[in-house]
Amino acid sequence: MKNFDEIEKFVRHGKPVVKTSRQLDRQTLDDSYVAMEGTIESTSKDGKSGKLKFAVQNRAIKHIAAAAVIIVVTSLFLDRERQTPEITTPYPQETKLISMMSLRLSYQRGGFDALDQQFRETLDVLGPRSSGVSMKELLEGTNGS
Amino acid sequence: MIEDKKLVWKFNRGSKDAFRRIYEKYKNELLGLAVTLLREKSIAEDVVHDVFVSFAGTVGAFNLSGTLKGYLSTCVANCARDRNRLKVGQNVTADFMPKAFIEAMDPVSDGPPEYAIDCEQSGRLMDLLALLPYEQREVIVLHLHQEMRFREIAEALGLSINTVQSRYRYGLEKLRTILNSTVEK
Repeated sequence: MKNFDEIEKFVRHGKPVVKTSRQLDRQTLDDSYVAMEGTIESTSKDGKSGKLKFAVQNRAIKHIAAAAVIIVVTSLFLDRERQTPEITTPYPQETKLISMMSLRLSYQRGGFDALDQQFRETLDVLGPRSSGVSMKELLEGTNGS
Repeated sequence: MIEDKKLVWKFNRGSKDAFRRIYEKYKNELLGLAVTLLREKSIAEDVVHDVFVSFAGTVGAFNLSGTLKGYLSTCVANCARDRNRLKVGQNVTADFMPKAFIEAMDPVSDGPPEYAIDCEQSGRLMDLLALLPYEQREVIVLHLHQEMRFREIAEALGLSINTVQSRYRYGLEKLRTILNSTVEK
């Protein structure tokens, strides 16, 4: 035999064909079943405490997640509040209250409630028919001028 | 392969029938491997027994990453190595005919003459393999008989692939030398 291929062929061909005895089969299967039952039993005992531990962990994880969400939302809200520019206009108090820009800012801050509140304040200051503020002044800020 | 995965899945759920089917499927092959590595039927049977019992103990947590045959073959090889260490010092010569091995042979050949030839060839191979260091024998048998890849063997035995390949090469080289010297005689 000169090359490895022939040696490999020889080894492959010489693979033994053996058969287990019935006694070995019976013994192995019996012992294996006992081992399986032992493992299953011990796993089911551990399983109860394991499940409880998992539930506790799960609950803790839920709380942590909820807290994290609250923190993120709050910080985002505060950040946005901080970023909202305080616009000071050179107009008199009446103009400031009724201009489109101030109405829009009110709406952005508090929605329709804030808008309503501002309307009421304006009404208190100006009265039902004010002639102190011109139309031009009222529409100041709507077209960027 | 898919059948094995299915059997392992059922076994992990505590199916004794699935375990029995795994045992039936691989018992003879693993016994052949153990006999080839250890050359003693009684010790080989102990190895197969121990491997299956410890495998049964992993029920519910057994995770099959490669092939089931590869996994079980590796278990047998590891167990056989431990047993082999215990009987180190036992002197084996090329004239030794493994009687226990012949007893374990299954007459699957076509007829008595073919069976005798198979037995003779297997017996001769066993004699030759016994002359190799255990590490080389192990790699050759796992690769050529159990059809495991070098990478699989390396991972299973915790060796580098280069070590496995060099053991294989040295083993075959030694076998060739022995066979050639036998032919010259």
